[in-house]
Amino acid sequence: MECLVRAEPADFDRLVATHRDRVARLVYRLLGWSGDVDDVVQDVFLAALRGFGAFRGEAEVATWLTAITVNRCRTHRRKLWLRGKWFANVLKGGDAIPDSRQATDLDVCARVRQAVQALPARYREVVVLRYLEDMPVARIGEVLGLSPNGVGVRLHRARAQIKLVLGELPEERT
Amino acid sequence: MNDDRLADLLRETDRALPPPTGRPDLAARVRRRAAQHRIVRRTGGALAAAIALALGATFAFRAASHKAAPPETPMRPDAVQVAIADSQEELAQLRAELDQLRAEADSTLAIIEAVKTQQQQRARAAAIAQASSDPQEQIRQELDRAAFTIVYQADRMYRELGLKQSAIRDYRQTIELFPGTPAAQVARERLTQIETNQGDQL
Repeated sequence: MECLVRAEPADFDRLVATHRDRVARLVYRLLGWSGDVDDVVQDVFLAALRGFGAFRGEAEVATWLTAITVNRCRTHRRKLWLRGKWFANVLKGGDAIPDSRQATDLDVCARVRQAVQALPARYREVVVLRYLEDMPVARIGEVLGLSPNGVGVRLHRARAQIKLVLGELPEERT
Repeated sequence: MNDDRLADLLRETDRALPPPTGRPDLAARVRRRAAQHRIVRRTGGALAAAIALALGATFAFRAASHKAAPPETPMRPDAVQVAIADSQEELAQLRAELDQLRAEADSTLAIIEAVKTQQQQRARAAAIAQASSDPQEQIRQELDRAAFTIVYQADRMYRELGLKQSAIRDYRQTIELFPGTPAAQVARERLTQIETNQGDQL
């Protein structure tokens, strides 16, 4: 932590080596298991490099990087929307949610993936952080700037939307 | 479907998908991008400053040109008449002031001429008065000048031409004709020197 505050080049290399895989995985999940992961990861560490001086060391490095990653993923989605890729994808039907008949032809993982992709970003963030990153609710609130109650509300709504999409799935898989 | 089942499904989906692959040397690439961003930021800042300067100069030039040439509003006929009357009054006033100044200048010149003439007359009268104030002194000065001329000529005859007898005669003549002058004293000294020289030669 002290080394980060001093912002030495070797410290930055160590930071990248330590957190690179975790950040890349988080980006991959936040973008719905698709997208330009490498570019966003670069953006995350670029922001971390710029923020070296401003990082006060009050939070854990992992939490700090997670907050940066969430913000960069939001920025990336905004850029995609502005470039019209979102509409292009919708027109191609690549990431669109299938109706129930089409969904029966897909396996469960693909349906879950599409359900998560269909979530609004604010709900997807809490789902990824809670269930895939196993982060406590309090820390999710710290990362997203929300109260624990706010995180709980978002989780509840996200689960409801996913259940709505996955309603016809069998209860147990063998 | 309960929450635990949902969590299991999410984790299974995540595990089923291949992990993201990234290119190596991420730290170096991030540093390169940071350097590029710095360059772009600096260049952009300089460009923005230059544009702002150019815009400011353009606006300042336009404002100055607007101030220099204010729009002329046409005058009404009665206002024109009033303006003409005012200008004629001003013209007459200026002419009167000019005449007055000219008269003052003439009178001043006349006074200067009179003072100048008076001063010249006074200087002339003073010279005449000085010349006629002491005729004896003037005569004495003339006698001194004449005696000095004779002694000077006698000195030249004796020293340059070797005419000793003529020089002695002139010295004696000076002593006889101008006895009280400084030149007569000089002539006496010359005669004494000549007599001394003759005694030494004998």
